[in-house]
Amino acid sequence: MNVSRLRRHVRLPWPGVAAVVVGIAFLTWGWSWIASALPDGEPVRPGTHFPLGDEARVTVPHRGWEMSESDSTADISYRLTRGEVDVIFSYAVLAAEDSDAWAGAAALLRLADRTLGPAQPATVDGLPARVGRVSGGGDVGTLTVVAPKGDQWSVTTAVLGPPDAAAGDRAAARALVGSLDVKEAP
Amino acid sequence: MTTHPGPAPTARPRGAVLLAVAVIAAVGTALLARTFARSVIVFPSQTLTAIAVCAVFAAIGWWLLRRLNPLVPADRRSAAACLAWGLLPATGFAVLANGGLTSIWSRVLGLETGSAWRDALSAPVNEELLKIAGVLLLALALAPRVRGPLDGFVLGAFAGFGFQVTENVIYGIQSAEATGGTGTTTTVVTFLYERFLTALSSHWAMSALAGTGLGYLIARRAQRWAVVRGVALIALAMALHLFFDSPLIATGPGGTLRALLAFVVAMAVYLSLRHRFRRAAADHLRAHGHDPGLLRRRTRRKARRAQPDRAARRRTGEQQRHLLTETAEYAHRTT
Repeated sequence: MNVSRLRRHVRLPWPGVAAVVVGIAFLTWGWSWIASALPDGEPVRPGTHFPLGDEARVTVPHRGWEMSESDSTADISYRLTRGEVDVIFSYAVLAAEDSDAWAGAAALLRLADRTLGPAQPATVDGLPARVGRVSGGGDVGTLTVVAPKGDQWSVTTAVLGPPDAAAGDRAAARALVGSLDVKEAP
Repeated sequence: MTTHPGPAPTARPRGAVLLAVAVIAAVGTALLARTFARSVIVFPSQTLTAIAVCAVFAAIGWWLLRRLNPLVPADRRSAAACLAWGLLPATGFAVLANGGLTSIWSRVLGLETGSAWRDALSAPVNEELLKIAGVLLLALALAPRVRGPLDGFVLGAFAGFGFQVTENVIYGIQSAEATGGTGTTTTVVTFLYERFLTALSSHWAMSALAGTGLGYLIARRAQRWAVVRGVALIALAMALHLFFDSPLIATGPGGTLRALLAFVVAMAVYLSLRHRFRRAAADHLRAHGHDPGLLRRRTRRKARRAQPDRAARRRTGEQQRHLLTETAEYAHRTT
């Protein structure tokens, strides 16, 4: 049989395979491409509250902050950005009351290819906390973990930005982190 | 230019299509590996625990799903290919697809509504399509594998179940991350135990429905209403998935209904297909002068035992297997 006749005779499934490949490619990368064309970053008015579980909340003190809707989840985590500085607040219910929230936060940073320096004692809204330096991915910053003893939750605050980020933005980030209000345990 | 008759006309292109499918599957698997490589390094014991627990779950599911096909168990290679598609590439593609679509919903719906609904509005579209894409690729690469809606149901169930297993592994690892990174192996096991309680009504059931729809679209296109039925079943699978993931009626009796609805609907569709399949099989046996009672295991066993010696019993068994395979083939193509 002639090759061209053989090819005509056989029903090739290539159009079907090509359609499936295009469909898979669209679902896998197309949505992200469309998302990148949409605005992400709602300007936040000073005085806006963001609850973190039932135990804490953040109050935005100054103008200039934007909240990323795609990187935030109501009551659980918020990413606020000002200039080149990101501040990420995260609330978590810990695996157990005696869980090491600091070690857990360090593990999560390793997932994002970042490293956490040694812990220093600090206070957040009068409660004991731990703070350390974060580096990696071209960013430097600090991580603060509040996990009151006897409770089974933690609030983690990460401030990240390039080493040459504007000093004004860094200062605004410190003020934002300072607005964290943690409810006293009953 | 002329050639020797050579292989059957469909052999060469199908082999090339199989290679193309293998490349697509490898890309999806690589995406999955890239996404979770660091989780494996940072949470090794939690990851191994999740994989070990889910491997037992996978073995039980494989054994059960193989029994969905009436008369003759599902073809082992087709079932394994669909299971593997769900286990690896479909999940790899879905992780990225869901990330993209949830990002769109977050931006469009805002923080409160977006947080509550973005997963429920993303997963049904992406996951149902990506899971049955494997069944469709298998049908394109090995044309006779999807002979009708029942094949679609069974192969869709395998693809969905594979997806369900890997999703459980991923969620198991994420349960360690979601507890502020403090989750232990106990956290993972406790979490997976809760997931297994809702396993009946999860991905396997939804994909079985979508697969049935695909079965109509692939093998019954010429029939009246087949395209409508096919599209409606795929849409039904997505709707049930959306309802299952939605924040609506999460607790109380409504919550139980929500958790079981996909299973109930899938079983209703399966029993209807199975009934029609057995009726067609009985007609086929009758038309060829055989006792339709042979569809029952007990009748077949009785017929074998009635033989005078072991050789005759073995011969009868082989004849029954041959007859059932031929009958099942007929029933698959006509129901």
